[in-house]
Amino acid sequence: MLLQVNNIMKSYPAADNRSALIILNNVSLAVDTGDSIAIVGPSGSGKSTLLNIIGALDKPTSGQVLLNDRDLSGLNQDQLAEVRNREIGFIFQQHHLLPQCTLLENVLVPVLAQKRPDLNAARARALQLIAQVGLEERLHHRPGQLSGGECQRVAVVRALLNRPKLLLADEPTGSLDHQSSLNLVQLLNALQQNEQLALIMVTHSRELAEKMACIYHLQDGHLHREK
Amino acid sequence: MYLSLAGWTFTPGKITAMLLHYIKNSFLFYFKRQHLPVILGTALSCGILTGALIVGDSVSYSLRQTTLNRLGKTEYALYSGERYFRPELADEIGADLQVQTAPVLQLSGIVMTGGGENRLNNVQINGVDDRFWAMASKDYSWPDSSANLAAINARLARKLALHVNDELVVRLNKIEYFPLDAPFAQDTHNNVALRVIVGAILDERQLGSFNLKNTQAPPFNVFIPLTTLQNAVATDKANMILVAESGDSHWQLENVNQALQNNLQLADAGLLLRTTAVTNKIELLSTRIFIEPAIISSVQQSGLDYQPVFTYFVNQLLSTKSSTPYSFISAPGLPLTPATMPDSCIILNQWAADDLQARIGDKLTLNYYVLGTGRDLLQQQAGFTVYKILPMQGIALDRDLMPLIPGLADADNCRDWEPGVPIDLDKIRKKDEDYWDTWRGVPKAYVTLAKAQELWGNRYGNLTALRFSNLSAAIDSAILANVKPQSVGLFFTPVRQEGLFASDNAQDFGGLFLGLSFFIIIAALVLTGLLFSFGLENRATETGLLLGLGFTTRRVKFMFFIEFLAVAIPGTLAGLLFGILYNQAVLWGLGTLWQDVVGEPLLMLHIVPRTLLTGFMVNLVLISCIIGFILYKQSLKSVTDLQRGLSRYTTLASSRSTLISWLVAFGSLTGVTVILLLSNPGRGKEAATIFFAAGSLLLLAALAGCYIFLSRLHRNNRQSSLTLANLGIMNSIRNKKNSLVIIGLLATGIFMVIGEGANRHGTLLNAEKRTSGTGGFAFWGETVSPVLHNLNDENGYTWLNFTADEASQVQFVQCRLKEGDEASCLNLNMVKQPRILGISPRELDRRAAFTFVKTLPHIDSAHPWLALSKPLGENIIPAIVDQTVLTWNLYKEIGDTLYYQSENGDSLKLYIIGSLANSVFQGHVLIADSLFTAKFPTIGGTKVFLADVPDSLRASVEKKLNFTLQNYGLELATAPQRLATFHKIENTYLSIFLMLGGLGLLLGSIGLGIVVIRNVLERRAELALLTAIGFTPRPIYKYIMSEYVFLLVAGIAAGTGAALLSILPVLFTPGSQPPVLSIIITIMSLFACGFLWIYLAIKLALRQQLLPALRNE
Repeated sequence: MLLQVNNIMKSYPAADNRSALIILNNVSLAVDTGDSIAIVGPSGSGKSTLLNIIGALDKPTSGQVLLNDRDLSGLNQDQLAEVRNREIGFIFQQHHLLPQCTLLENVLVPVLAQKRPDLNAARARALQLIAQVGLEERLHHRPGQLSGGECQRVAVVRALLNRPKLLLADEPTGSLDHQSSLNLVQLLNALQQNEQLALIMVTHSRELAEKMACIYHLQDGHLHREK
Repeated sequence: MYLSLAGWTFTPGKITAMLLHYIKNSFLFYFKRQHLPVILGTALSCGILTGALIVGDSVSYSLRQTTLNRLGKTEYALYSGERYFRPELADEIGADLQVQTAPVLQLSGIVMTGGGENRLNNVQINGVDDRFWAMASKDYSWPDSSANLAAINARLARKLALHVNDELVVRLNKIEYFPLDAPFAQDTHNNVALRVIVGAILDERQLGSFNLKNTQAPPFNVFIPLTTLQNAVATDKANMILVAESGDSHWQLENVNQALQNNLQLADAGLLLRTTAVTNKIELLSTRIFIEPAIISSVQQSGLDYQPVFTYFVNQLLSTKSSTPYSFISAPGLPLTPATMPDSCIILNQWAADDLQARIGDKLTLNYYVLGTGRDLLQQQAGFTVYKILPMQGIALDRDLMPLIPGLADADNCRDWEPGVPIDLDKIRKKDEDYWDTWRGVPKAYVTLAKAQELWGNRYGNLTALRFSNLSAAIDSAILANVKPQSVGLFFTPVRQEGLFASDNAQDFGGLFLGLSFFIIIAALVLTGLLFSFGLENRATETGLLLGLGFTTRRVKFMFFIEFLAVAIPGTLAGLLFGILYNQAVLWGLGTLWQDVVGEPLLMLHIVPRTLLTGFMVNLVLISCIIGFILYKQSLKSVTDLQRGLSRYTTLASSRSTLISWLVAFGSLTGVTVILLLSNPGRGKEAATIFFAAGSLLLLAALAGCYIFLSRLHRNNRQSSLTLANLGIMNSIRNKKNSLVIIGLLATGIFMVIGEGANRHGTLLNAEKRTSGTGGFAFWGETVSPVLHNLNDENGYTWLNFTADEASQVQFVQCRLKEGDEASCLNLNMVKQPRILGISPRELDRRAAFTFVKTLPHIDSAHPWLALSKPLGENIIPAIVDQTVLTWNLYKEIGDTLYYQSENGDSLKLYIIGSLANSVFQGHVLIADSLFTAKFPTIGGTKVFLADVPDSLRASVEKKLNFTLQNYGLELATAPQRLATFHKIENTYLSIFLMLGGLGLLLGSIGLGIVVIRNVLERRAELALLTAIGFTPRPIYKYIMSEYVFLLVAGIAAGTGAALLSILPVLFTPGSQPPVLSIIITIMSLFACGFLWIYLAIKLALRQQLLPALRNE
């Protein structure tokens, strides 16, 4: 199993210090290579929190996250960073492209986090992925010269540069129009299959969620599978 | 009612209410955290600017008050120095003009306490009475004019730790009416010591700081009852008259001088009339022995019939058979010397003829001394033929022909003679003693007047008496009618008017501190602009929204501007308060750490409402211009960019801006090249100015180059080596404007700090070199009493008790001194008449001493000193001045003229032919000794000397000088020490500048920190993403650091490079000691400081949680 989330609890101290605010209550999830999962739920239900815990951006109050049989809670910050760099790809609602960098440079940014980056290999990989998303003519354009949808596609490519096994997308279509959203999800699915990776996507949109193989619903801190 | 504003017409009520509501909400509620830094920045810039102006007002006011305090009610003053007149003259003038007057006898002396252990030289000893105290603005009077009472001023009391009822000893010279350098003047002083009790310590308003010189530093003053002082120095005269303000009837200077003329008596001009016993004539004599040419002219103009007389003292009459020592020879005219007598002939009295065994027709030789330059005595001789021999009777026994030479005329016998020329007492025989006992100074021989004047005429005169036959004539009034008081050194000057002019036109401290604070003001303004700009950028979407809703650009700009004014006005008002505090801090600094600049602390806070208003308006206008520019730049952005928040990022490099940058860079570099290739900088200030200009242009070129570099970074789409550091550097193009502002602020600051700091005078290496500011001399000495000895001859060495070794190796250059205003960095007042030193051009030329900054083209550059010796015309004398004094005290250049009055009242022009580089002569104007004595003959002896002393003898020579000259009030310093005193003052100014410049740099680096915090906070989402994709904190630090360290390094490099060019003259000037270490420390400190701010700012910003920036909610 690629990813195992075992009985995750996430709570925050309440303002009155009397009772904790429980966001995730005993959440478990198993994801294998090639799975595509959508997590849906109302706003404020903790979807992004769950994704951040899976993506080693946040720590659970209790519970365990195993990625490739490695317990993330036992890793130090540097090791977690390496996990995020090599094994996980992240796509956010905002593309967060660096405005001063070209498309190609933005895609290559994750390489700079490595201690011994192989820029040539990375470049070849980047060009290949960029071609896959249809932006090979825009290599030297800057984000200000791209549309929102194009920027988000670049963000997707960036997330895939280091061949992660797990791709996490937190409302990737939140800033896009309907058609662009559909196109993006289509792209994600295509890439997910090509790259043989697991995809977990958080979304408000039921329509987009239906494009995934599995749908989980998160409500009141509990995660249950719908489909 | 409609209001039309900026081209709009609207009803005031509705629109104003809306506007005010909008502004109020923005200002007071929502954006107050953004506005607070802007208020602080505005307050800072206004505070520094206004504070600097208040400093100027305070210093100016303080100097004015000092002038008023030191003069009291005095409006005009007459000071005749070493000429003396009746004190009653003051009353007579006062009665004439119906004003208050006061006579004063002012002398220089030494004050000692503790049995001589504590000694203070150069003290003004003032003999005054209650008329003087009436000139003060606060009452004081002598409680009792008893002999041993004195009042002192606070400065003297502090210096010698004196209190009321303490005893002190005042040492000063007895008055000599005979000029000290005149032939036969005695070469020793009659010194007196006066023991007095301190009766009062006077404050400023009691004339404690009484001084006629225009300087802010109060002198050391002792006031003694006039009669007590007069008795002590054996005179009944005064040498100063003060005339008070005239109230309603405002007298002009001409009126006062006319009153002086009207009341002048012969005694005031040092003249007296007596009836001669033998010839029964009225004889006019002078206390100066030789009658001044001005008096002779007056007598001639009076039309009185008179006979000139010239009597001289010779060493020897020598015949072929015998000799007669030490005799008076006279030229009395008829009937003693017939009109037909040739000039080559001599008439002997019988006694002399017998003594010389001479007969008519015999040849005789006279040996005598004449006056050389200074007090040099030259032995000369002249040959005569005996024309006649007179019996010892009748007119041949006219002892009144002998001048009243002190030391001769008053001697009881020959062995008591002290005539000021060497007398070999062994040569005096009994018969000479008998002659003296019987006939006193009856001349032993007579020559023609023409011959006498040819042989013995000197700069003091060529007659010793005038005899009038007409006993009934009103001789005195006839003479006085034609004597101009100024021709005998008596004239009033408008001291109050001149003093206030000097203080009102003093060093502009307001401008000075404005200049010194310039960078900190700019830094504060730029910082304020940056902070406002950040706030505006944060509201870019709001701006876009307003524009999208139909607001015009002008209206939006207007609204923001009004909101800004609501911020800037309280900020500026707060700045005025801060300015007063800044001023207090500066005044405190000037009174303590930087006391060297102003001397004695005297500074008073003085706030002029106009200055506050100026500071307010100027700051408001400056900051408004900056804000207006920022608003204008924002108005150029498109609505969509604003709405998308892309105003923060420069999307495309402006080709127009890049083109302008290329033009600026090219133009500036061309300017640098032209300046360096075509100018002929020479040395000194001119070179400094030229290279500073070149450095400034290079700085401009460097900044333009930085902009071009940033633009090229932007345009360069090729992917160069993608490293974290490169990524960080590329970040600097996100907001080129901010990046350039940071670089510019740092570069300008370091350029100015290094550029000025390098001019700092270091320790004096090579001080022993002739070309240095010491002239290679070991010592500089100044005495209160003039030294009458020639220190370079046998007598001088004996007097100083030198060994043979010392005598052979030590040489002095002695200089005469005419007192004047202190013209050095020690005096803030404008100076018109600095002290004059009479120096020996030959001695300085022989040593090739000192270095000239500039001389007039016609001067021989190999021997510039020698150009001093030749007068340039009637009453036009060449002069040399220290360059610092010329520029900063006199505000003149070479080729300009200084105006004085010679002793005989003639207008004297000192024409500046050259300037010295930073020398020990600072404070003086230098003229040739020979011309000095011609124009100021009464000033006898020398009061300043430079000494050449080998290292091995310095300690012993210093000891001997201090011992021998202690009663002359010697102040002895090594020449390097004297120079260091002046350097200290200049260095203090530079220290102030460096401190303020350093504060400005600190502000600049704080600005950098603020920019970093702000940018990092703004980029939290980006940084969160980097965390999400696997960046650990360290690479993120490196990424952000690389951007700002790039800006820091670029700014320091640009500023340092330009600064090094600007200080090239200093680096390569022989003998200069640029503070290399200080410069290195400055650069490293700035780098460390900037690095620290950047690190802290990143740390602060990254302490916050980044994740929320990635979230959708």
